[in-house]
Amino acid sequence: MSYAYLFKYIIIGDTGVGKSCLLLQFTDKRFQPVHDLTIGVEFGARMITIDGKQIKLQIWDTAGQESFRSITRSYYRGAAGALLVYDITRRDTFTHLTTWLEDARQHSNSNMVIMLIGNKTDLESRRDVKKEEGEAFAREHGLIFMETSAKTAANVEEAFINTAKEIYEKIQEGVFDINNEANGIKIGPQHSPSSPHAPSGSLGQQAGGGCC
Amino acid sequence: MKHKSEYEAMVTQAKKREAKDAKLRKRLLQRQMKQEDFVAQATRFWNEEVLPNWTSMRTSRKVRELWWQGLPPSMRGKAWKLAIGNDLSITSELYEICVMRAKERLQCSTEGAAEPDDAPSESPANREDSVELIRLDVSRTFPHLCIFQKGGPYHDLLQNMLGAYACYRPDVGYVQGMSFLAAMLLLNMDVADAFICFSNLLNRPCHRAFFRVDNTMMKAYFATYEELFEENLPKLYTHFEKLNVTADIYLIEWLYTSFSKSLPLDVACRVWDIFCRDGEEFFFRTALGVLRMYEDMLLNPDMDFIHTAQFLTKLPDDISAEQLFRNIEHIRTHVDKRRFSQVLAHHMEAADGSRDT
Repeated sequence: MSYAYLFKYIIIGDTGVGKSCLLLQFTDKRFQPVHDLTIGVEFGARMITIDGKQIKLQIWDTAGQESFRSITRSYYRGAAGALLVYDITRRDTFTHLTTWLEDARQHSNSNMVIMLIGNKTDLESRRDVKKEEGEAFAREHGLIFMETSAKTAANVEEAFINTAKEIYEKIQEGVFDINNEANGIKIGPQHSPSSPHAPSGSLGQQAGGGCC
Repeated sequence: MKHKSEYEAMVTQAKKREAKDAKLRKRLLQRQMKQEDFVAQATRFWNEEVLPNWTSMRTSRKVRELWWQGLPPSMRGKAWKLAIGNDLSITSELYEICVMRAKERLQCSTEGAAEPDDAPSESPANREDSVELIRLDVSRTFPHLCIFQKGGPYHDLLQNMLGAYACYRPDVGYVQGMSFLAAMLLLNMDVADAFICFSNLLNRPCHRAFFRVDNTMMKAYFATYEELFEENLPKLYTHFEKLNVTADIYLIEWLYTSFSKSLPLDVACRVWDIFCRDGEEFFFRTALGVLRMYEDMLLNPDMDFIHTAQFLTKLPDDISAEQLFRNIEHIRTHVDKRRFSQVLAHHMEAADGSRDT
């Protein structure tokens, strides 16, 4: 299937916060209560539409254990977006955000859009981190923030799509150099200069593309 | 009249089909009986001749050939135990002591009480982590088998064993991937033996490098793999380079779980059988055997980066051991007359050199 852009995402955060479950909910629209644990990295992909354009998300779902940090670092290369996930029922996963953020900033390109996600809102009775705390952390570090539930699917679509919108806006503003693949963005095959008369909207038409 | 002849034709057809089905059933039954005969014979041979004379028999040609065809399931645990050995001289008493400690810790962390002061020296953060991580991972180990989950018959055994190892080796602690190795052993032997094998296994060079995340050594193993890959499957090697499919995408899981999570359980057991026979280089042979088995499909132009990466990180669940082993047979672990160990040693020197600078 053709697409206008391809964005590479990486999902990071402590082990057991629900990274793989978020991905499965987003790509397959289902929840697996007992999920395999991720070792190394797993992958997901889905097409979304933003501003009338088809965008393919290529998602890298990484292992969360601290010991693997030196391995997972190489996965940051060329990511346009990162979902940094913690578990609202386990405070330590929230406390560790600072080191995750340091790691992410150090090993990715500076324009990478980071979405902070407080997952497991279905477990409200066991909540250990207030929503305001997540918001404050995001504000302080310039991240987008959402609370989600991979189980009920609440806000899952939005988390992935809002990240893409932010990346898309950055492209429009010219912040991302889309010809440099190190930025985690690829132009879709039909948009290569050699085929200007591609079926779905080409780059040239996007100038008038609406802003929300 | 027409109806009658049509009816007769149908009857003959049905009879023919029936006869064909019966023939097929008979053939399958024969094959199954032959297989059962083979397993029974092999079991007797392993039990009566090989295992009692392990050191002299294990290298004999006949035993090695039989080994390649897979250990009989009832002999597996015994043979693995002999092959892995016990260089660390761990006793079941030591296991009991470590388990007791692990249980105390588990209790401390659930009750939120302070740890006893005489706990071995290690950073408190790490200690806390191990207990919590193990708890999280035990239920996520082979979830489809439904025996390691909370309330399942092997849940406590696996949790205790991993906890015991973290007590025995606080400097290594618990690292993800271990739960799969421990589970594989538990499925084939009793818990004390499993612990002894587990500790000795993790002391082997390749496992040691990975579970202590020794970046220099890991780099050497990866470089060795790359060299063998290029040597054995040059076309696919170039193709992966073009697609940017690097080994750290799929090899990490394959090695950290010694294929137990990546291949169907019966196939993984066969791989472990030969790992016990040939050592760590067999894991690299297996990796390349998997790639060789799917080479044509992986070279298909429709297989872009994401499809390839998804395929390699989630292999089909109907892989046949026979087919895989036929492909592994073609993989050579020497390059220009240099053996695996020599290729590895060369890359270790190179990696060591770059560490110093």
